[in-house]
Amino acid sequence: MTSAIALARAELRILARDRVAAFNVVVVPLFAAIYLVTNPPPAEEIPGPLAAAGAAVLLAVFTSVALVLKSVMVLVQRREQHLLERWRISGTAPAAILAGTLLPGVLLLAGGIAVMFAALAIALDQAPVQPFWLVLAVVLATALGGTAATFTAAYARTTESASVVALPIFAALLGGGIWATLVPLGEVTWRMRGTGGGALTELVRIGWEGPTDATGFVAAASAAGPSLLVLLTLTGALGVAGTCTFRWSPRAQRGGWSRRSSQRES
Amino acid sequence: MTTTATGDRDHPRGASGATTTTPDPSLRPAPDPAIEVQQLRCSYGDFEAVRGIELRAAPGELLAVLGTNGAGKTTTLEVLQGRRPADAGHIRVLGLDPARQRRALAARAGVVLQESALPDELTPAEFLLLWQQMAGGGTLTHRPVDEQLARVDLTHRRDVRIGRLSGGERRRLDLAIALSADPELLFLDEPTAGLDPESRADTWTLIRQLLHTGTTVVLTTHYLEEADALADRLAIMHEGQIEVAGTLPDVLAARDARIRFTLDNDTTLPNERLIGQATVTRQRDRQHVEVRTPDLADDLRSLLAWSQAGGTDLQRLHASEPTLAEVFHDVRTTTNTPEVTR
Repeated sequence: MTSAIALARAELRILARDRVAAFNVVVVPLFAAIYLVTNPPPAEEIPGPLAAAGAAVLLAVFTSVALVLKSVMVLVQRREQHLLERWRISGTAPAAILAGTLLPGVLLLAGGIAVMFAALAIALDQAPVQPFWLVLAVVLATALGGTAATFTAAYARTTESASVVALPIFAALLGGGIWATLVPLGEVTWRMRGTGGGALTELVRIGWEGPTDATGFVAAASAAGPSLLVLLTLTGALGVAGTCTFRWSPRAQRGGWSRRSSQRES
Repeated sequence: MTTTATGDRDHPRGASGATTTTPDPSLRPAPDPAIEVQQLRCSYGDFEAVRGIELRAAPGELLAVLGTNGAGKTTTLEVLQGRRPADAGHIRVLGLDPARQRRALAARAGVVLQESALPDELTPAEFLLLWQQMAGGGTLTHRPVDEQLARVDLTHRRDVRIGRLSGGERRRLDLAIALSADPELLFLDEPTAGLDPESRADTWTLIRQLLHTGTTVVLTTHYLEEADALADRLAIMHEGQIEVAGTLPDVLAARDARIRFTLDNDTTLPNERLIGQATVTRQRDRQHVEVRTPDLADDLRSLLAWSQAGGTDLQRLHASEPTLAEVFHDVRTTTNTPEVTR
């Protein structure tokens, strides 16, 4: 845990010293939020479900671009720099290395999406009815995005190829997310949820426009069940796949850190 | 072919001419070999990079692993460090199984990677501090950052971004990181690549100091003079196998010395024993003779006596003991080289 936090702080410092990257992940969302708040669209043009859909699309965009794409690039870059090898030599656990490397991206996603959700609520004067499901959606988005990035990074040899390799995940999260906004909340299908983005969208919409009566939370939990199941399954599957395929050095084959399941580290 | 590289270190060093003394046995961490490898095999898909090698190094020794590009040196080091699982073989490093006890080994071994793995955006001081928090889960005792920097003469670059350091300075920072927790075992993968002669000499001095305190060192290098100057043991790899292994004197003793000279074409070559080992190249009115001999002094004496007796002019006479470069060249050009096992 100490190692992961130390590494995350160093990654944050590296990010802060890269002016272009820092501008993209911090300043751009802030400007977008400020613009949204200061230039709200006419309320009559934005019905409640559409506001929820907007929030869902925002989460899909942040997850696919700010988290997955950025994380794949960071992992591939650290591998090209042989830093991942360096951390492995330190004796730090693989999970701690990945967590520390990806944590800044995750925090920035969470921070950025929180700012955008707040701006959306202020601009439209429509607060989400069940914020718990929004928070859960963001948490699951970071978990899904992190494992997806780890899995994808094994297939990208260079940072230049990272965006191409990440395209299927990008398309599933963003495309699926938009797809699930095109139908009423109760009509989101398993196929839509299966993209990952669709499941996240459903959770966001439940949080924003979900049931408001006394049994609201129970009803929302019931409605969210399928999406939760899909997201947990996808995250677990990508986590296992990432464990099996991850490459720590540029010349290594895809073998992960459990190439021999019998070899347990002590 | 497999050979074993092991033994004591009480022999004169090669080109440097320096002589080492045996470290105080009480300083040695364990009586067992620091490194013990038997029948190590490692593949990348269908390509077998390491093919049944054997290595052994005693505590406090410097074992130099030499070889052509793609010989399997780095793969071997990766297995010894626990960064790559072996396909087969018995491997013990400081008494530990690197694949299963990676973290325990990491706490006792320092590594200088072949590539300088450093982020451009951090400073040397920041990175050393980060390494202290990372290595061994932050539980190891490290030297203070400023002391580490002074050790490799980087104090003046303490707060400069690593991206602005020269190649040599980055290499020295690599060394400082590896030495941070005073490891019992040090893996050096081409540690002086890119260093200027002065920095290289400083690095050699530092390595010698480490050896005197009982640190075991495994060195891979393309600089033969580096192995010549520092190594107690040598292992020369080629195409995944160890072709030559032993102490430097053992390795050289297994090779013939050379006598080269030029004669006029009308001169008959000397006695049959020398002629039998000679390679003659005729060129116009001259014949260039190269004789390989296991007993340089004796044969040179015979040759000079023959020359003096017959009044033969030995032009361009040159006699040389075998060198590590010749041994290395032989390994590259033929895999049918003598085996040295001591």
